[in-house]
Amino acid sequence: MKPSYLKAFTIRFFKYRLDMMMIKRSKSIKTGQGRTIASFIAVICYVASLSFPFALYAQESSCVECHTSMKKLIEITRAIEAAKPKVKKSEETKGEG
Amino acid sequence: MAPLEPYEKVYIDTDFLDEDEDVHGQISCVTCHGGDPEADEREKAHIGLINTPTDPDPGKACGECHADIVAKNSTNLHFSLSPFKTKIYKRASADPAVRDKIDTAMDNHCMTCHSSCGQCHVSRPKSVEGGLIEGHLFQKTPPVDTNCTSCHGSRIGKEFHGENKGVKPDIHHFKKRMACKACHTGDEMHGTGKEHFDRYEVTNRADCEECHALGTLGKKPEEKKSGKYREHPSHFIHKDKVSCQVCHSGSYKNCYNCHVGKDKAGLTYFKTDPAKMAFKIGLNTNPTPDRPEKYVTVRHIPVMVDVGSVCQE
Repeated sequence: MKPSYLKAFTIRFFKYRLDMMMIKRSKSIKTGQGRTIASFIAVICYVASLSFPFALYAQESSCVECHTSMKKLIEITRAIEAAKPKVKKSEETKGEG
Repeated sequence: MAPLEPYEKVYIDTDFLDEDEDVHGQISCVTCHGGDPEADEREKAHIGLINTPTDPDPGKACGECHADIVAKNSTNLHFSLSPFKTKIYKRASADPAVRDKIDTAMDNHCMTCHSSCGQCHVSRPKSVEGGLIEGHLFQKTPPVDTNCTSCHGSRIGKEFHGENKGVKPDIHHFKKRMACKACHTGDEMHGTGKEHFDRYEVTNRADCEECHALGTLGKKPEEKKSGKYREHPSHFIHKDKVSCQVCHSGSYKNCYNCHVGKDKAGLTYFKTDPAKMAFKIGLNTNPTPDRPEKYVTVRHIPVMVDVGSVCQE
């Protein structure tokens, strides 16, 4: 996991944890039913805090994984260039463009 | 400008993903480029990929944050190149058959040079085979060598940098090391949002008098304040009659007989006669309140160190 993802993950994790604490301390939740709902939301938030950052950055990671690796790109682009038909240019072109 | 290796064209610097380096790196790749990031193979991941998200319509990629600039895009001269067409139409026959040929020629040749938001701020222009600049880090000011002079190189670039044999560089480069942006601001590049017959109609274009206002030329600040000096008489004699460049410039590159077409294999080509260094003054074909002079240089040309040398010759 790249440092930027770790940073984003940590921020989001603590943000959701904070949300949970605020829900628990809310004066409006006094009944048992309220506590059940709050617990349910807390669990959802906790699970989301773990999975959401990965869900978000997983999309990017497959792009970023290749496009930030010079070694991979050199190998891949070499193969692509070798297979690609050469772009033809007219021999009749003369002079300064 | 050296061509990029294929891998360099698509290499992304990890700095791009750092929020402190470039906020654009916080937007997911698919938002602008599409594709399928969940695919486990390269080919599948690139299905539906948008290489140039800002060309032709930058609305989706840039519009959310830069709506004011995007709104002007369709009339931006770097994008539309509209003066080429209007100028050629003015000179050519009005016969629809001739106009059709002009349109075809322009589509095959001239219009391949246009630029988009991304082709100035993120990659090299498509006309020079593209490729990311600075590992996809967005450039507020496009780099001169990879972007400005990659298109404006044969004439403007060489003249400005003094690369034509026997011709000195532009004084702004020679003396102050000024780059294109010093005079040609982002505002000018993005246009005014209006259609223009020629590029001299763009009201926020570079203006000599922004720095060299008449009545203050060559004077020290204390002299300007006191007002106890005399303006060079030539400025009063020639004001509104000749443009600044008619006197304050030198030889510039002139091109002749540009012909375009398709060869037997269907490949597009152009042919031009050798360019010549010369100094030509012509009638201003489109006087405007901003540019009322009767006589102007045929091209917008760099300013020479030896100002006034043309008149003296």
